[in-house]
Amino acid sequence: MSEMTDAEIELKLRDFFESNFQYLKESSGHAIDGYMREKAFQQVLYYWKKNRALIEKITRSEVKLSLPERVTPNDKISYTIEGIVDIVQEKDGTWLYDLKTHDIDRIKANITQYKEQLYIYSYIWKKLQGNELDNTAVISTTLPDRLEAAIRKRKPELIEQELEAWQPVIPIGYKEEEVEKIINNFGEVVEKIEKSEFCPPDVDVLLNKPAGMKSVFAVHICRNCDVRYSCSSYEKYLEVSKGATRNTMRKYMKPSAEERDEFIQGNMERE
Amino acid sequence: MADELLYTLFEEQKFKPNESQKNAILHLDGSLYLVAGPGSGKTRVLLWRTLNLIVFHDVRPDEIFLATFTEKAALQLKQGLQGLLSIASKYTGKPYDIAEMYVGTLHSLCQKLLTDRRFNSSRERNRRPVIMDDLDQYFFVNSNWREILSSAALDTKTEDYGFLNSWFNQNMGKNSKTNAIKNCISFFNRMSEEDFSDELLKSAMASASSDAAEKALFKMTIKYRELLKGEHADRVDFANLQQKALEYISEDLLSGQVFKHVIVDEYQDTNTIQQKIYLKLSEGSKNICVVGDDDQALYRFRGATVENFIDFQNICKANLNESPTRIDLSINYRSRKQIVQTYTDFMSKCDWADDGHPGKYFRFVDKEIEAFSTDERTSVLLESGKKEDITATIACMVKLLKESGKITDYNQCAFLFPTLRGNYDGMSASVKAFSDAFEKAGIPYYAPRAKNILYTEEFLVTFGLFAKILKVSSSSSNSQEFNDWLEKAIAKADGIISEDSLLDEFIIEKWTDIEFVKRNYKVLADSCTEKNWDLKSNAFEQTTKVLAGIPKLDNEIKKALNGSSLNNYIRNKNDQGEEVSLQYVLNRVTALDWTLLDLFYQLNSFHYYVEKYLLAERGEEDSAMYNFGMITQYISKYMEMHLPILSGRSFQENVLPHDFFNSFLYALFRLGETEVEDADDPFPKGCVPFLTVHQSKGLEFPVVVLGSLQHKAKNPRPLDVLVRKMLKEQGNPPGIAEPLDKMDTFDTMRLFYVAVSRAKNLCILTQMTGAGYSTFGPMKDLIASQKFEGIASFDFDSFPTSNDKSGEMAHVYTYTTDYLPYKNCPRNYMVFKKYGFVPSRSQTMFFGSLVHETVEDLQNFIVGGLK
Repeated sequence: MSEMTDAEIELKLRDFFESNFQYLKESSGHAIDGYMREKAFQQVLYYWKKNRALIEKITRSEVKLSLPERVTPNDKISYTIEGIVDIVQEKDGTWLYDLKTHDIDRIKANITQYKEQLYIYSYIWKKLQGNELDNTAVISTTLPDRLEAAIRKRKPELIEQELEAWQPVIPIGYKEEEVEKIINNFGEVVEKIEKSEFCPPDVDVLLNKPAGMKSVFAVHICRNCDVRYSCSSYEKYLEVSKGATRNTMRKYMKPSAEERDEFIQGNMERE
Repeated sequence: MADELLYTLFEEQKFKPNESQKNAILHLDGSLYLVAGPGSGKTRVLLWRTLNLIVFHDVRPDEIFLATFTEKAALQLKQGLQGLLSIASKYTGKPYDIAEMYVGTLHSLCQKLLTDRRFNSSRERNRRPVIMDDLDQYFFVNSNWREILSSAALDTKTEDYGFLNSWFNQNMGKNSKTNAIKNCISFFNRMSEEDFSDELLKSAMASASSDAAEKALFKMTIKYRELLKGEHADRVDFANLQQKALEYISEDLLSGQVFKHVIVDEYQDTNTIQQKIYLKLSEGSKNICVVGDDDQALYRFRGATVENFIDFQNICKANLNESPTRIDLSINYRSRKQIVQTYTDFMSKCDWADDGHPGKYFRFVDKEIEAFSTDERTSVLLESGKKEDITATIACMVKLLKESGKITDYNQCAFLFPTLRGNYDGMSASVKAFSDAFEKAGIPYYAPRAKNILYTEEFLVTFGLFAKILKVSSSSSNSQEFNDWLEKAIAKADGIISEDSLLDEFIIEKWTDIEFVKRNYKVLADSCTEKNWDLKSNAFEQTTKVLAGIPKLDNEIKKALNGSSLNNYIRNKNDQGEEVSLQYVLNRVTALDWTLLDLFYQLNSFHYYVEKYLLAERGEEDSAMYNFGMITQYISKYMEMHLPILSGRSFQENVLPHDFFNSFLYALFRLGETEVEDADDPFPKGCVPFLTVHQSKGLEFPVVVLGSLQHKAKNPRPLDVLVRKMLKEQGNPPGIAEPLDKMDTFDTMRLFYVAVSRAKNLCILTQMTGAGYSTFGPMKDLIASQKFEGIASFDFDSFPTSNDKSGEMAHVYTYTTDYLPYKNCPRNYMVFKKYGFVPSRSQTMFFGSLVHETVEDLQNFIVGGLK
């Protein structure tokens, strides 16, 4: 690979990108507009530029790890946990990487959730499969706002500077003693799924901000949920926070002007 | 030593294999031919045999290719294997990871093959074809219909449809376009399933024996294949996905070496192209293991050839130069004794002899199926009489079984029918009789395939409401059946509206929305016509200014025309040297802010829907949710084929109502007439499932009621006749070929055999008598020779209680697609993950997938390059 120049790899990347774009477009019947498309390409390109050294070290990509024969804590329903990681094995150590399209701030605010995943994967990799393990990390593929702004302004020095400042790799480590509890929590969720317990979160949850989020649950999460109109908790939320009644509820179904514009422009992009 | 450990594992898992099972598990070298009767523990044998390969013979999981008939079966195998392997790990101290193993239906494995870099030295991903399901394929042919017809010098005329349909012996609806399309698709598919290349089709065309219709169909097939090749991505239907995969693996000389072991389950339902793939993949290792039961072959109508299984000995010899070892698994562990005796006896009521070859038969007559169970008490009942009486008696019995706790859920009692359908709007007479009796007795049942899916309540209500909102009162289609459906849907919707005044207000609001964009669009379009502006021509910022000045326009539209988002968009496009059409501008400023899918979700806020959601949230009856999920899938399919955005133009000249109702739903309606046997269908809780025998394949139930013993003899299908002829002309006739005039009887024998053998504890045969009912001959003989008890004299206490766990297998969960979404919102998880609703706004998903897949490609490219 080393004999390929940056420009050649960039071309290759463009190839992959275009072919995936066409495929997704053909199979989904819609696409994203030119601006978003370029934004997506930038994300991949700068991800590559920033992480080239790391990517070149990856020994196995997309390794599926599974933890079979688990049973839920109370009803003893059996289940399997599965996950996918990238693995770097080299002289100075073995790392497990979990690739995420989430932004750094979101990852940092919810670090426990990322930790739990990697701990389980590490457990399977090390304990169950008997492999070496030195450390784990999450990689965020989303470009930081400042880097994006620099790219938008097309200022090479600024781009260079922001690229330098970007820290996409967040080391997580591994503590085996915590795994049992994590798996137990996982099992509790599986049990609820298996027993078909699907009531929405209480209205109090909707009225509060989830960790690391700027807006309340109802805005941040529910706003993107198509079935909120039929949800009892969302209905209560509208009642409590906006004084809505069943009769006026419909008013709140409308998208904002901005959402509307984005939606229309995005969906009219076809040819 | 290895074997010793294997036996230790058997013991730990409380598995006591019989001699044949043990032999099959230990037989790893060379080809193996497993003839496995119903309930003979074949899945277990496959599991242990695969474990034996991996743990004791160092075969890497990615060197194993295991094809199953359904995804459900594949999942079950994967789960079971994972479990066994982790136990084996405890003894060997070695980890086993089967994530890279090929397990699945051949369709999914073909997709995997096409991107498997081991068949391709450059390690780059092969160009992925876009896979079309049945509905996609129908619409693809529909939209290219004129071109396909003209390749055979035909036109969209009723006499040309009649010409094509007659070849398929289609007498009802002989002049229908939809039938012509459906028939042609079955022809295209069969040609791919037989792996007939364009060259073979051309030479068949030139053959003196081919008639005008055949010649036309061959030409159309070639044209259809040509059209599938796209500029950016090729399309494939299910049948030629397999052809593509075979081509791909045949390009590489070493493809026969990639897999060390090829294992195929349900081999009796394999078609020609599939058999070729299996043989190709095992060319190098010669380790092919086929598992099947000739008596359970059901899929001839999809090109499957039971003869492939019966003649496997010779096929294997001819292709791999190997004589496979045959092992019979004949002990039935599933059913009580009388059940086993009944279905084995039934098979003897038909003459299977091959008249041309004395001493030979079209089935393995030498099988000695026996029951493991020693329970000789009654386990087969016969109810014979008028349909009202029988169905009432049986409904009463089902209720009793449930109330007495003999079964813990209604879904442990399956009703199987050779066919569920009667006429267009629904059920066959026997299914109808049972459903009436169940409704009277208050027993819930689930029978999505028993009626045209559009006739289920949720579809009627939803599309009835759509019709109200889009002001569709009758369809322009000349199909009386479709018009009846539409009328019924609207009546249903009216019923719901009359009980919900808010819904009424909502609909009026939607009318206002639609009228608004429609009116403004008309003003804009008229004014363009006046100005002599062609809508296809380019729009500039000046254009939008002029349009915004039209006095009759509403303010909101003027604002949009003057707005920065539209004008920036035009400027940006122009800067990039791209054009924006006037039509685009008109559509964009008169666009509605809801799509059809949004409309569905908005309707969900009303009482009728909310109630159904609440039931499912609490883990109660959930069949409506499966139907809602399907509705979102269909609507989204429509949106994939058309612009998702609705604008003023959509309502001018009735474009949308026409496209959605008369074209899309009409096609769905017509396609819904065929029963699609999908073994991966769900079994909702708390309902008695009504299934076709096909759907019950591979399953077992504590109680099985065979809902009909009737059969109407059918002629051989023209496609079967044609394929026979073509193979003969190609000098490649099948080694064994069932006589065309016996196929129907043989297939019906197998159908009833499968049905009865699904039962574990009790099987009830229902024989309806009276005018119009005729019992299938061999079944009549069986009834005459056996003295079956009736329900009235049946001793309920002799019936064992069923703690049926067989259908439940361990499920796989992940952090990112299960745990976290559930923790976030269980209800959202339920809707989108469990019931497969399609979310309305999928823009962000497109972005995410694009980035993610490209990063993956890059990483694979780099990892591959270094090695």
